[in-house]
Amino acid sequence: MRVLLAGVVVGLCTVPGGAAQLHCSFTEPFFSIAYDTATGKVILTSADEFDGDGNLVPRLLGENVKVVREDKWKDFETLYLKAGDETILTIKITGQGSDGMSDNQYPFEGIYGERNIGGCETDKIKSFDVYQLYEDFGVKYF
Amino acid sequence: MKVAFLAILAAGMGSGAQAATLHCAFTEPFVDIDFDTASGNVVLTTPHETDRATGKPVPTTLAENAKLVREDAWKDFQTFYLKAGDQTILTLQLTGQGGDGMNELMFPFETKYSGVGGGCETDTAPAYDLGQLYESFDIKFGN
Repeated sequence: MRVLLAGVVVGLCTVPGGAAQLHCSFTEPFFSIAYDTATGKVILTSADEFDGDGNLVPRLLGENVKVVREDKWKDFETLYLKAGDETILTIKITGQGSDGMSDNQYPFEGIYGERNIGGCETDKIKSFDVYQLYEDFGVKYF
Repeated sequence: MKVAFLAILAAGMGSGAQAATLHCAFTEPFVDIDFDTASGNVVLTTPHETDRATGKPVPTTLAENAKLVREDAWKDFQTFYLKAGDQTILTLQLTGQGGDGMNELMFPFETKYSGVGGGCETDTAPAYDLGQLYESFDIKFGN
């Protein structure tokens, strides 16, 4: 009975408005950008930014960040990761996102700064490995 | 000891080539097409073809010994063909923009069957719900 009650309590605690996470990966330079609705923070982690001991030093890009979307779009729907008026990241729902390195196909394309284009996924909407798809289906060339 | 041996044996058997499934959904008419690498069968299910006694849909086998093959060169999007011998049952494009024509699901593949557009997904490349994305990130319109 106690176990059942504990299970119900845990279930109820986890049901309402769970936090969502967005994660984007970029290549050349190698860095990643992570956003968590629970904290509202956007964090950049780069292989080029580390301390004296060689540990990576994540950098805060924005606080109180929200995702907003364009009410009209051409070709692909566009979302913006914004802190006030500042746009930190532009996200396009292309279904063709890439980290520039692996065979992973990401649901979203992330655009950071002038030239950095990467692949973005969320905790629930994951990228998938196209090469794995070939393997699973034994896909050969036609 | 026997239990441990059986567990190891079962784990060993399970690590072999796993079956993969492709699922495609269409609207107007409502049709589902499924392909399973384990059987090689392509099966069509529609609410328009039902068993009179039970009222349940009766699947139709479209093809046996089917295979998924891919184009070695492509423009814009990679193209796959679900083929049984020389017969092409479905043509799929890996656009990431597939839809079943009814809801907010985004499928990794776009396809057509009898001129009707549809969306396809696999076990490892599932469709996702765009509406659910908006909800989980509390996404609103505008700046």
